[in-house]
Amino acid sequence: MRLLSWIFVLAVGCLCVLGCCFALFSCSAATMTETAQQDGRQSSSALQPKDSNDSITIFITGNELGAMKPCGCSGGQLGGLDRRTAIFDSVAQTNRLIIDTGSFVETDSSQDLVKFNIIVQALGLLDYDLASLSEKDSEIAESLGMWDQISSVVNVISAYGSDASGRQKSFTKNLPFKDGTIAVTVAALNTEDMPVGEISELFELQDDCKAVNLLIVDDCDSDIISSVAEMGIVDCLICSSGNDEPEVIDDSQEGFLVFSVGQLGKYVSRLRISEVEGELAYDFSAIPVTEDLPQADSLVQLYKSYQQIVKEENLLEQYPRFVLPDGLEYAGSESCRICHWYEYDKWSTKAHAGAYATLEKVGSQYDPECVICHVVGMDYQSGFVSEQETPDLKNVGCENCHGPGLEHNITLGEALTIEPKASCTDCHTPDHSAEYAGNEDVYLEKITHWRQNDSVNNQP
Amino acid sequence: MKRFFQIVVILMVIGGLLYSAGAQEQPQAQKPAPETEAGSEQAEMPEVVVLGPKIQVENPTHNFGKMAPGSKNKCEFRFKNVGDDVLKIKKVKKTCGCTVPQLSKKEYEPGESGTVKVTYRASKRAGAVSKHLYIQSNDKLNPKVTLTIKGEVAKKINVEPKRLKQILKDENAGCPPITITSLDKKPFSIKKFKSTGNCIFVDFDPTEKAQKFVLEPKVSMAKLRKNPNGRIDIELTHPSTDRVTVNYNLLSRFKVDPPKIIVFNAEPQKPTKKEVWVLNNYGEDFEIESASSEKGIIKILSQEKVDGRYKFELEITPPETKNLRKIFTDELTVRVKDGEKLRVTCRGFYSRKLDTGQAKK
Repeated sequence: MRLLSWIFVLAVGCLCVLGCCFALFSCSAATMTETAQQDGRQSSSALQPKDSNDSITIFITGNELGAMKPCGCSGGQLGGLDRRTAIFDSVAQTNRLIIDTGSFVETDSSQDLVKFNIIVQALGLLDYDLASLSEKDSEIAESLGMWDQISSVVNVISAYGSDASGRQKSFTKNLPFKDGTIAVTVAALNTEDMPVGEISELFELQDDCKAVNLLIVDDCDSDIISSVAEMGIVDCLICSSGNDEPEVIDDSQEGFLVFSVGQLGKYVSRLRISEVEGELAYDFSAIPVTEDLPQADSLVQLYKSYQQIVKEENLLEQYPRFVLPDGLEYAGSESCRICHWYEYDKWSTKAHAGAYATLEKVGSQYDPECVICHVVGMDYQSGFVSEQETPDLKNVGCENCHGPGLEHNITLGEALTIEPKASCTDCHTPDHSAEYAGNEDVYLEKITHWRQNDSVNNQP
Repeated sequence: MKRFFQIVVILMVIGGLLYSAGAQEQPQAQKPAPETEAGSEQAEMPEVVVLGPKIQVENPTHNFGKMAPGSKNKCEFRFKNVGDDVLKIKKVKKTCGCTVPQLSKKEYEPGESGTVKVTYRASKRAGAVSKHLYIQSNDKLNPKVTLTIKGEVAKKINVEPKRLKQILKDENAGCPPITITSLDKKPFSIKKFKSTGNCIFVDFDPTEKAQKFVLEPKVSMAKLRKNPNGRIDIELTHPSTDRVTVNYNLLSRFKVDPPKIIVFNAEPQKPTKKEVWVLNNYGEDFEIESASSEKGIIKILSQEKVDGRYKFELEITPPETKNLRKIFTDELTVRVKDGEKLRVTCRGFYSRKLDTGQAKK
């Protein structure tokens, strides 16, 4: 009887221990899932073993168009080179390939040339395997004599530029996969330069291992998609321009996927390749580059370097300016105070009156692209030039909406202020002021600085 | 013995409770994570009768078709609570700043319908658009419904050329006509024409309406010299495009090739050699008076005139980097005999190996 009792106690004890272990395991599994979701590393897929050879992951970005980070003017903005590391590092370096499809900048303005260099350096810091230069990138690289320089930072291919520059049109990297390797070849095609029928030249036959062929094309119309599909060589067609967000454009044919990469670095496209029943399977998703992702310090420092270069190159003073009509000139908000003291005092409590300080806080007070929306009249001669030269024209002031006021002041109000007057949507654009569209009345309320009974006369 | 059985009962109760806690926790850990990626579709509904609130969206995708750049567009998504309990909308989340969802109320009785109103201001960039919104609710099987808005931002006005290349020696700086065409065939007038420093101007009749204008710009050479790079803004009365912009550049007298010196993977005190050429874009003979570096990072090794062009051999020695400074800069100033100064910026980016090295120390 005593023996039976002890056996019974032992069994109950085991049940108790098992229960504890089960409960603890369940809790930790739940926590891991939750953490993965919170830090933006997409859902449960981020929990895959980092050194697993069961799949490979290809990260694809492109069309930065000069957007190195969100301006920060409103919350919830997506993007930022400095936040990409958190996404890339969710996969071990040995199991991934990182590609940028180019279009680093939109123009060859002085500011865009600075950005071009910074973005190239950023790709190096972010461990990109490959950059495919667009037509514009290629022109800039050639004019700056930078092909070799860029190649020293990141592998480069391009469908544009002269052969004399030593450009390559395709690139192959072998990645461990299952018990062997998989060869991923990425090629760039300019259909005006090479007919689709000749793309086999871009891809080498891989006899001894599995292969995945990716083709980057700028102008992805339906004719090109169907011609590439017919060739049966390409597994994934990447449309490097077009859609503003990454998206699957066509997955109707087995073993052939077409997708776009989006714009302005708001998303990172992720292509996970695994094997299902002996065939390669492609899983595409777009990962938003959200504000809650951690910033990589090296990239944060690089952005500070960019701000420093913008300051040293004095881009603000070089900004091209129009001439105001009829000899008009800006006078500064302070000069309006003598007569319009009520409005001035009200305005000075509003966000517009502190617009310049918000730039100083983030070190962007020398960046023309930012400054133009935080000062008076930068588009015109006699408008804002720099804090030292035109201190009275800092902030979004009276003359932004009411027009240049010197003549109005001199004539003690006899001459009315006239054009040019800025409109709200000049600065409250979708990219910079996300909540503005549809909430115009709420925003107008925020800047009310006129006497309510005289609102008609005082509004711009 | 009685005490012994009390202990056994307590242990059994504790074990049982912990087991049941674990069993409840487990499905939560394995539950698929809410889809947060663009391109995800509305979750498929299993074919089982489920009690509770249930959201059903009439048409989760709205296509605006062709939109004018910067235009404001509105649409509505209708949904219905087809469940048997109150549907509570927790949030309507958007993936980008271009949409503003508005909900008049947040709780919907069984059978009740609601609407998500969306305002979308199109970007000024032409191209296909696809944006996503998510309705988060207490529908247990479908807690996050994806709504998609699609469309194409299409230009309504075309301007050619988009960039003017001005040449000092040509008549009227070689400025070609500017053609503005209404792509949607809607007639418009030209309201204003302005250029940087007023160096380019044009005669036009603001009362004239047409689908196409060919403007003949005139150039003030003196003003153009002062404003060699700039833009032209042409304001229009077209219903969806209020202005077009044309950039211009004056072909400068001298060309520096390459115009900037860039050094990647720089290492302190490890010199790099570069070649820079200076030539006259107008084929004029010229002499260089002097060349010097601002900070001494650029050293001029040699300077020679070859076929009317000047060739400089330079050595760039990156300075020691303090506080993990990522870049260094210098400027080479070349003074031409008639007084014109050419500035060549040098910018270097330190090697990332340096970061690792210093971090290890």
